[in-house]
Amino acid sequence: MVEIDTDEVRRVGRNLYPTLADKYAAAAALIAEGDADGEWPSYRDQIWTYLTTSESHLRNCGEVLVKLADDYDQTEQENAYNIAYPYESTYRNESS
Amino acid sequence: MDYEEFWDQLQANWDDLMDLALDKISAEKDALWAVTANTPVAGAIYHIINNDELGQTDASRTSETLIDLESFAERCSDYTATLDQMGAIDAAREILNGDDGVDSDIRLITEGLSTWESGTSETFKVEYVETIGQRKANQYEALGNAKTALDYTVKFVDEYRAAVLDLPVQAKKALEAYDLGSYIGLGTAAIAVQIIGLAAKPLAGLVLAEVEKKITELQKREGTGVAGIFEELRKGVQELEKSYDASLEDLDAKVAEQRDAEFWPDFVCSRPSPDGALVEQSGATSGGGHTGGGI
Repeated sequence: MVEIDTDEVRRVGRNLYPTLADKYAAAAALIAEGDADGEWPSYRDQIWTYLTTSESHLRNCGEVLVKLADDYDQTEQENAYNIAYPYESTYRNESS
Repeated sequence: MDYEEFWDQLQANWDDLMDLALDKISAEKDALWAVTANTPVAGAIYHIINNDELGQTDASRTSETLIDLESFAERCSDYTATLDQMGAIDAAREILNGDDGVDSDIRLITEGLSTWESGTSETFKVEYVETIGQRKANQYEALGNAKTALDYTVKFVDEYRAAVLDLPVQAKKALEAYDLGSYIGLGTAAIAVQIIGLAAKPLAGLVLAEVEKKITELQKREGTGVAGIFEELRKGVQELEKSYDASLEDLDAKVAEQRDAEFWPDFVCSRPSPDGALVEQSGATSGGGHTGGGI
């Protein structure tokens, strides 16, 4: 069984995931700079990369949901059209 | 105590020490003249003892001891920028875990997708919604580790500043407790004997460097006199510096260990494969698995 509210899925993909991704971007920006000695900067860089990569991945999740909703709507639209308008052969023998 | 206060206090402690040291040196000088029966040799001894370490106040400021002390004090530097960095990490943690943090977004996403049911919906929810919370918790912890490391460097500086400030205080206490009689009885008497022994030969043959070397050896052996106490102070600075280096090295090792132990997939939010991945995988002739194709 497939049940989908494409408007809602699109809203999640278009609004909620990007909002979450923005938070990751803001957190990453806070730790992007600053000097320290020894191993600390490379650890900081590693954590910064966790956050910026997560930001990017969350945006991807949102994009996938939007695409999924769009694809579903398009398929439904095509199916609805195809069903509403019987093909030529219904009315005319095309094989002759 | 901020950096400026620290320096002011260090200067004050050093000045206190120097005031007493110069009094003691004068007393040593008078005693040396007495021991050597007012012969000019006493002047030579005084000159040699005080030439390197103390002498006039201005000269002492450039002495090896003070240079070492100031050089180490500079390493216990201003950590305002480090405190700012710690504040920034706290703010980043608040974004992830505060009242308006990531959890509220996860809840809204979960609610938004609750009515979506299909062959892939459950997989999506498990892989790309439910995992966010745990990854966020790990990221929050990693930020906490980074903050703790900075906090240690601040604590180190505080502790070593206190130790640096204490060195002149302890040296002053040693000077206060220092009995001039023991100096005359042991160190200076021995020095005087050595000098006089050399002086028995033609005085012109007295090689200053050789005398200085003998005095230095005696000072180290006897550990007495103002110069001996200052030698101990200098060693104290060197020991502090070694200890500080070792503390930083230990901290560095722990930070590196933590950094290298963190497993990437536990700290990064997942994403679905991009468009074309299936085709790419189907057409691939070697390597490049579906789950390992990218980050």
